[in-house]
Amino acid sequence: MKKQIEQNVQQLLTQIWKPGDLIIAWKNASLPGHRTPAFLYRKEDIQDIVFDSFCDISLAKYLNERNRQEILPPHFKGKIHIVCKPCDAKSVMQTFSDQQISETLVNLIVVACDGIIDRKKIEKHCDQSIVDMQETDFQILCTDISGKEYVFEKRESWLRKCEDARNCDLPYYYGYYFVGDEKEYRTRLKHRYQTHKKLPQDTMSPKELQQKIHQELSRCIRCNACRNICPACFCSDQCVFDKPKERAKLVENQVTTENTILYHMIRFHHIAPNCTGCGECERACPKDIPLHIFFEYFNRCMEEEFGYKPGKTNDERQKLLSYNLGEDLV
Amino acid sequence: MANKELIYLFPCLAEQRKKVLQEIQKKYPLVQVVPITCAGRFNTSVALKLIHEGAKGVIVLGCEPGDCHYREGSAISERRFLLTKYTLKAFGIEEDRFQALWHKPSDVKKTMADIDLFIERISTFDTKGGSNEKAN
Ligand code: SF4
Ligand code: SF4
Ligand code: SF4
Repeated sequence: MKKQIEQNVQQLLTQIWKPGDLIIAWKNASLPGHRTPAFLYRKEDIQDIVFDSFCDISLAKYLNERNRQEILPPHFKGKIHIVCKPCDAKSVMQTFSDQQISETLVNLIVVACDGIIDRKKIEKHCDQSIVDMQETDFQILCTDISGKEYVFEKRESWLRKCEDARNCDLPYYYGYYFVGDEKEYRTRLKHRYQTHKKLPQDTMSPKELQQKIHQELSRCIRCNACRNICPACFCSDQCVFDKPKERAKLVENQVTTENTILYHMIRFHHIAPNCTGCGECERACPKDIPLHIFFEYFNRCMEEEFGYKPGKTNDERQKLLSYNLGEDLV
Repeated sequence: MANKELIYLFPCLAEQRKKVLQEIQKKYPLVQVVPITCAGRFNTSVALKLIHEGAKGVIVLGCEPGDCHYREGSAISERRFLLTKYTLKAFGIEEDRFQALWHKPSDVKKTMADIDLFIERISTFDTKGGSNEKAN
């Protein structure tokens, strides 16, 4: 099944690829269960593309202005073909509506996705480092360095976002290629679990919540990985956390829990109107900090209070940046 | 950095609000006034920073959406201010510590009444708003 999808992606790309184009997709990495972004310029390379349950990285990040400059050769004139999971497609939509890249430059290829594996969950259950990781239809098979074998149910090792089927909705956009059976995909989604999980903000008193946040964020080393990976963060060159000399310093450089809390407060405050809930920040965090308690809360606020879902379409202007006289305020 | 017990007040059109501001400072010496150009230009991260670092409350004093000198300024900021309140809530801080008041510069009485109300409400809160040293 998965192999079939992989072949279909390759086939489609072979058809639409033209000399001078760039393909952004996944390919195998040297570590077991890792897939790495691939930037392909040649037709022969298309066969290296993979798509399976280990493709956890969101490639949407590479479309925004700054990252594009890093990966594209000078005088690039072609199109960018980008392979995405449905949830990443939302980040691409957000990139469009933030006017980071023009739609005419991008060919969006959305792949029917059936849940992505959270490697951290699996690694936690293995005693030693993993040397082999394979998938079957419903299971993940691992071998660790001592030769011990493990079997995990796929459904139980999903990324957190995959447990809520609303994250897998397809965007309202006229021009994407869908690989797989779109009708079947939509029906399959309807049968999956769709609910908001309870967040600490609902169940805890403010004091308890402060304590929990303090406890969790005391581990943060301010490595900025959560900011750098975020597909919705795009002002990387003028980030408020980066230019202390030219502007008022919002957060001191010293890594203390107090400063860290302020860092996250400001980061999520900035990103809330753009955040599609892609979960990349949490996945990239080396310290396993449950950042979903913030972004899921803000996602819900945006939806319930502002009636606005980031990443739903390609041309919705960000609610907090635009206002027409006479429009309702919230 | 932020002074404990302090309340920060960010008024737009401070020139025209001279009378209100004088009255406020006479009544509440702990209110620190920082004039801004337009409520729409107020950087809400600063409010978060001040409250997190111990300020008791932050008020932004602007003109009603619609009366704004820069037309949409206060309307956009109204949305942003709502989000600021949610941010405080998400981090377990009382959302009432941040307040935007919309009044005409000439409306001294109403402005004073609202400020009295605000100060009365936040006087019950702890000194420190942000998750603090006590938390551990
Ligand atoms: S959230 Fe949905 S689309 Fe995204 S990786 Fe998980 S299952 Fe796939
Ligand atoms: S990725 Fe994790 S450790 Fe690094 S700054 Fe973000 S929350 Fe902190
Ligand atoms: S804040 Fe996190 S969940 Fe939201 S868009 Fe950025 S990486 Fe994705």
